[in-house]
Amino acid sequence: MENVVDIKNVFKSYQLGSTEVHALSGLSLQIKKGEFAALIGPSGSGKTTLLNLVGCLDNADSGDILIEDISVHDLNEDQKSELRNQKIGFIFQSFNLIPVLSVFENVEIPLTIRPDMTDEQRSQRVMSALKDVGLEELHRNRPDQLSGGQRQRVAIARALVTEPSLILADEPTANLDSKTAHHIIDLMLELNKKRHMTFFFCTHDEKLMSRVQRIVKIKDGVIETE
Amino acid sequence: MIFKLAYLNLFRNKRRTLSTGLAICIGFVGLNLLGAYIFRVKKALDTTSVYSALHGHVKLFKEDSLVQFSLKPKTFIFSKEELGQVQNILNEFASEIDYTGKNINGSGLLSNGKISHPILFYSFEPEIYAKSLTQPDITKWAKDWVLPSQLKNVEVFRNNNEVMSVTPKIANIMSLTYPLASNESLQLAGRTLDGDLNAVNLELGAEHTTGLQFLEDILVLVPFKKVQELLGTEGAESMSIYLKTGSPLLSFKKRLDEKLTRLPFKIDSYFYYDERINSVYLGTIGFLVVMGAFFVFLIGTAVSLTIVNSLTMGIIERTREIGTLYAVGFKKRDVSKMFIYENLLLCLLAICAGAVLSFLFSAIVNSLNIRFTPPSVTGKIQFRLVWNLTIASAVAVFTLLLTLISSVIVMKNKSKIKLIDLLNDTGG
Repeated sequence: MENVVDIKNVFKSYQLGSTEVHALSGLSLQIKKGEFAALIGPSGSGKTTLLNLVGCLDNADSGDILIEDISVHDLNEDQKSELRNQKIGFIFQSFNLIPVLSVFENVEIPLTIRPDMTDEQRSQRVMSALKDVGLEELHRNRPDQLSGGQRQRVAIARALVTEPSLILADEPTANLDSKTAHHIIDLMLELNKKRHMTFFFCTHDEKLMSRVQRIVKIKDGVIETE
Repeated sequence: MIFKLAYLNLFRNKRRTLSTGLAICIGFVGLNLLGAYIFRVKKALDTTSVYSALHGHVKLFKEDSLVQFSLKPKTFIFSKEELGQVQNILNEFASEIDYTGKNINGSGLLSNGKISHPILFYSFEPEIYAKSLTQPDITKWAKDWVLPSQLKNVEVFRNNNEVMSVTPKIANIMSLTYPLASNESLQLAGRTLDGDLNAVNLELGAEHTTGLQFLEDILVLVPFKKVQELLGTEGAESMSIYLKTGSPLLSFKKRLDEKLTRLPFKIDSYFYYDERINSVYLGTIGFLVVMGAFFVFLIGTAVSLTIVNSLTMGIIERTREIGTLYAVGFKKRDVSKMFIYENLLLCLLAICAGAVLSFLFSAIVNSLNIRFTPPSVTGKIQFRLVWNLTIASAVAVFTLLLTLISSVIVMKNKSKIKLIDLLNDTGG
């Protein structure tokens, strides 16, 4: 199976006051197409840092990350933006929806910067994504009219509307009650199977861990177990 | 979507949007009214300089006459023949020139047999004076600078080449009443071009105002023919050219200067606003421009700071949202555009409101007929604000540019924040 993500000996450190913190210390990892992989580890182990580097939200100090064989290292800011738009979907812990836009418009956002798409094509894609997350009826509502679970569904629809190769999720169920979290996990698994989308997410949620194909445990910036 | 987001963002923090919009609106109104006042004063000065002071739009002198005429009047005066030669050239511009006039200014002693008073005299040709004072621009822009009696007495001058005009202050100094009593007469004494003493008899025809305090007790108007008689000449010191409405002043003077080089003698031409013939104009306009620039700076800084503050607050409050937009693929310039559109949209709304407000304010102020005495001006004039579309448009463009520049500076600064820091922000 081909690799969607290929992380090669990545180092990343931060300066915290006068102390240098080594978040990742020569980490290498491959995520294959269609995988449903969880990244776990204690706080400060480097999970979010790794996810941010894979999502081109931050730059590694050394090493390289390939997204579908494209080296992130070689891309400028605009090219990274295009890569994020075309190949990566993000699901955030706190949903990160835009409050002044409707559900439909929130999901539509990543498509609005694609000049090759017509309004009709965009609309079809958005409604299809909303149907997949079961929110097509609420497409006119604003985020503040939705429950936490529904908001995360909107965020998931926004992540999958561009039909990306990879969906990255940072603690997607952390802000949800257990019942809602369960539904969100079901939805992500369903999308993984139905759309063959690759999911790579970090979590502390044991229920979620018990249902994933692959668990990558990270500690002190290196992979501890797989 | 960027534009829609920009529009919707205006309704997020309504109080801040309102206060920012209000600051821009007040700034726009302030600049607009300042412009309206300067415009009115400039128009009044233009009109009085050209018509009341009889400078015309362009004034012709013999070369160096401005400096030398009082010393060597005989050398620097236009002779009758020379005046004819100049007139022949002016005839080539008949489609642009409305009328022309001749002038001689000088000094002398005015006496009524009891009191003598040193004066400066400006000559006038009755027909030219009548034409000038009845120009529509005088009524429109300089009504306060022309005494009502002056307008009434235009016909007096037309019908009698012997009458002169004094200011109310000189009339008071010399105890002159109009009309003069049958046993009273006025004599103007002075030197001829040859340096001999001479005097002419005059009648008191009317009163005029110079509009300026420092001239009010010294300046009289004397018929041109009488001044020629006093100086013993058939010539003139200068010629004033009055252009038709819409004639292009700058290009006219340029073309005229070229043609005047054909004459066997050299001529200096001056615009009516040239400091050398009209220091009051330049002094007043210079003061207004400096004052205007100072207020533009103050208001512009206040508006700019309000925009910078509002935009910075907006960015701080929406940091994570901006990070999300970047995460889904928006480029930095897309997000910058959104904030800039947002401010420009607010600015446009504020300008529309400001245009209406400034128009209404001008109308109210004008209807109140507030009168005041500006420095060194005689009598009270109306505080008028002339709302003008060109000025309003220029101020609107300035305000939009100010908003654009302020927004771009803030966005340029804020776009240096790392994407990861935007997403990790816990919210404003």
